[in-house]
Amino acid sequence: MNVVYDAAQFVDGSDANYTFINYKPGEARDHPVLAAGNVSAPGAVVPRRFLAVLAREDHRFTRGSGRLDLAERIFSDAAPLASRVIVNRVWAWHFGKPLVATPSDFGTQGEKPTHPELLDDLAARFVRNGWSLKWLHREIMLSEAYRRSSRPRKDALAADAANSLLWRMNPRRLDIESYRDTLLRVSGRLNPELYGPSEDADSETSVRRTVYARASRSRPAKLPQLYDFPDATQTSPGRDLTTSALQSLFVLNSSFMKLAAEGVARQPAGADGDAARVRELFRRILARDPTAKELDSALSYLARGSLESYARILLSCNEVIFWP
Amino acid sequence: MTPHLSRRTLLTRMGGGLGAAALTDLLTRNANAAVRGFYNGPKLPARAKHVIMLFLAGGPSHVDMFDPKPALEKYKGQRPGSVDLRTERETGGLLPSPFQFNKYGRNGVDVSELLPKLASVIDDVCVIRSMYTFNPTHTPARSLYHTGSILATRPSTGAWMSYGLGTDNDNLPAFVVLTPGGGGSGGSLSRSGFLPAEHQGISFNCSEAEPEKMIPDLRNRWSSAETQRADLDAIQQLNHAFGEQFGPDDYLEGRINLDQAVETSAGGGRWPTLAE
Repeated sequence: MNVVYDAAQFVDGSDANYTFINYKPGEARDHPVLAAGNVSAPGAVVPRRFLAVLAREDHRFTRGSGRLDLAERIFSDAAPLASRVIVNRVWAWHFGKPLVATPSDFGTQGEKPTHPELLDDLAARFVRNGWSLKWLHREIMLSEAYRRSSRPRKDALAADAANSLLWRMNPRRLDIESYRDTLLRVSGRLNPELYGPSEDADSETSVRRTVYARASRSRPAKLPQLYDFPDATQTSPGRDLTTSALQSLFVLNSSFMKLAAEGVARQPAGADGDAARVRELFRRILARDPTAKELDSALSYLARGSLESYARILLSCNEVIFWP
Repeated sequence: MTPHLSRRTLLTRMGGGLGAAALTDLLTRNANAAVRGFYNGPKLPARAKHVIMLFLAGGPSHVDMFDPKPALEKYKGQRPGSVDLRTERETGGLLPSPFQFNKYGRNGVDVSELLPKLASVIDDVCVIRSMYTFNPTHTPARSLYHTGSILATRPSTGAWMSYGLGTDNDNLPAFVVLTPGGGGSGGSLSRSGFLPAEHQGISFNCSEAEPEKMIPDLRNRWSSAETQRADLDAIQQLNHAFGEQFGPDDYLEGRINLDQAVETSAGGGRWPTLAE
């Protein structure tokens, strides 16, 4: 089934007091200029064609609405721009920081690249390799820069605190999808089933992966928003990360975290005894064993507090959301 | 990553604004606070203590309150060619305001009969009548008002205030946006845009007056204050150990400080209500 089809847009003039817009499938037309958007006074007709600023010559669109012509021009005339745009985005997904800080604006109002030669080189070789994203991922992930540790070094911090020279991997944090999925997974509550309709991620009964969270324009889900999910009424090139007091309130006080802790505490331990249980909690939540000191502190906590409270403590830790 | 900010530098940067001294103290106390961007231009005489902006979407027209249009009376009922647009719904001709205007105060500001009390203090009010919009659609027009652009990417008024004047709190958002029903103008009201994220505002649904209802998860409903204290100590202990092992990091330290701030304010004391 085609979800996208070619259609031409017309104003139905049958009612003098009401503007109906008609889409006629299978038709194509060149639109007139509508000064100030006034559909009652159409101006000169402009033939549909590729953007003049990117076009090598005047390419009129001839096939249907011109969707196919447009796609072809993006990969030919506009290839220098289009390849840099996607390379910049893939780079940002791997490094947590783009080379051009405005991924949706490479124009005069956008930022200049921090590493122009790197962007040019990657984009050129990306095109030479047949626009293969698989090649691009491999090229980036096999680079020395990508494989560096994120550990801070005193001398390097003093010289380049913003890491603009990529002397280390940028420390990252889990996005809300990975974070919420992690919390559901470790508590044994996650429903990993694929496909189906979206659901309200704020509901206590919602335990599917966060990718199924409903993104409603009029009623945005609160939890994803709390962790920088962008405004769904606008296009967004990425997320602006914030660290807010409301996030702390969620972690320390929310019923979601309470349910997660209950879930973790309910999971069976491999052996009897508090020490075995603590070890099980550490493995489940932090994927490692406790140090001797951590085990001691946990045992003295458990002398007075519950296993569930201790699970909540571990779930609240920086180590859960931080991605070194 | 201690920001190297002398007291003098900071005060200069802040233009000696009211929040400056307090902010300097906070930064000295909390050396890890991210100070990436504040206004760094010529000094401004900042006398304002607070900026409160009321944006009354759906309020009465300026034409009925402060902006008499005598020409509307003259061309009443007509549809001149320049306004004879095809509209979404049926529309009539030009409509003059049905309300009487008079001039008030020493400057003779026009105010309609709808606002007699405001008219009596009009000398304390600044009325701006020179603004216009070029986009009649709600969302872009709101964005234009709040950010100066119909594209929802630029910083909001509040973010500019925070950038230019600073703030004297270290654990609350730069500014807050109260939106009845939680809706409103989406992110346009609170967005920091290309300004650093510390100038981001936070939206609260002010249909609720009680802080517990306005701010999600304000209180811990499961543990006593003593248990919360003990739990937070245990969290901090683990976080400090992790931080020591990893090394200095803004995000890790910011999260530790916020937990602390949240616990101190929510655990012990009482939050003020909106009315207060």
